[in-house]
Amino acid sequence: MINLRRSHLPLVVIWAIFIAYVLAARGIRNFFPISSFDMYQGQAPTIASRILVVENDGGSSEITHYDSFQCNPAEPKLENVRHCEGAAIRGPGYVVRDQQIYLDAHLHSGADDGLAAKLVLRTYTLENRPGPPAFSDCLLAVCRVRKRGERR
Amino acid sequence: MFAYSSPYEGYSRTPLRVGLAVISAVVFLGEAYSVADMTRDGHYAQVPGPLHLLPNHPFSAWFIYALICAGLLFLALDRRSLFAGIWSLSWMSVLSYWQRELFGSPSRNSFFPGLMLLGWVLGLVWARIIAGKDANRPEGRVFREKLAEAGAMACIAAGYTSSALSKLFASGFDWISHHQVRWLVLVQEPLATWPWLTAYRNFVIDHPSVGWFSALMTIVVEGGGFVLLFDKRWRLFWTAMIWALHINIILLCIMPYFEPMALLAVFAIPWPRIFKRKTIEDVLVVQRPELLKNEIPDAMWIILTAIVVISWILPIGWRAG
Repeated sequence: MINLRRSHLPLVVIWAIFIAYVLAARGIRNFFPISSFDMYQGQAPTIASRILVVENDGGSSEITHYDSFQCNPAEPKLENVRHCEGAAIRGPGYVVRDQQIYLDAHLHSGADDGLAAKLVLRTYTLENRPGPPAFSDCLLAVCRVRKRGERR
Repeated sequence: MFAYSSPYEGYSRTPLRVGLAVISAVVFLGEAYSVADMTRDGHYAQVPGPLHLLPNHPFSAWFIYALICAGLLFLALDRRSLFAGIWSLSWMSVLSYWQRELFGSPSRNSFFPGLMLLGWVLGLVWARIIAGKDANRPEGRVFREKLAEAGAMACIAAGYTSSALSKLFASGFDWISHHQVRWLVLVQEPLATWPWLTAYRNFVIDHPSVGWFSALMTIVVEGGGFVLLFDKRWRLFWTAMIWALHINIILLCIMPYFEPMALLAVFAIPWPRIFKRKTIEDVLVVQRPELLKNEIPDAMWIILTAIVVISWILPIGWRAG
């Protein structure tokens, strides 16, 4: 007779399925519904880059802080950074694509009275010391921009 | 500590079944919307439609979503749960594969309800194998859902542990470095809308020791996912740890993983005690106590081994860089 309270059947179930899942995920890596959740598994480089907007006073913000852009070149291609000496997009590809989608959706000819700003590729160098990381900017476009929620 | 226990022991697991179905439906509503949107956007790869049969058109995404929801509805109502779960998983898989082709990488967010549904289904299969048709009867509900819950918890715990193992296999303990998390913050979104949030991100970016500690805790919390499988207090405690991890990731990197947070909240918080639900008896086990033998049935060995072997030999999985 098995003691109902002392049965370990659920314990057998969880560990058998747990081990099977871990082994299966190591094999297939990512196929629904099994995933090894291997995002960002590689060692990160010590150089990071991000496309930002730099206003004339030197202050920088994310592209999404603005909802209207009028730029030169008229349709900046954010992945085109070949002219930036020693610079490259250093980050997941979808990040720049998301920024490009946002920018393309907010390029307007009516922002010519907006703030003067620059679209830049900012490249950071991470060192093992306290303090802000050193960075350099590469110009991608010169723009007039309008902040989100600002009246026209 | 190592003995298994559940906050739902002695109570109806209907909230787990319904919660899993509802969360899956909500997550895949987002997935279908995202896929439908990408089919019309030239920024994404233009690929053949799902199964290379349906057109690469928003209609196909919503059609598949309707099929998923039909299965989830049956699951929530506990009507042909096993078939309904397999049906939903199959169509979710089709939508996930199509999303991966369009976007370039799979949306891991949607894997969380998927893997818990997989575990739930495996638990139902296990119950069916050892109890036969009795498992499908109303008096078998407590027994089959006890094993389904165990299966679902096993899979989400394994997902977290697998994530830590991936990092350690790919990078070794060098993953726990001063720049791992700082790099991620810088490439994802260093400048927030709110000054306090930018200040927090700068605190991490400017302090390598904080970045190192964040990386260490990521490995500890993910790698310790198996702690969810200890008793119900440990399940609750590790759920809180995972919540803390995800909240920190949201604050630092704008990567929301609300799916596992919601699922763990349903499965780990002792809601039946909080709401003073009435206790119920496992009628089937009282009638057939021999069901509780602590062994893996042969058929289950075969199923689990087949899943592992197929996962290793079929070249269909997407691999991260």
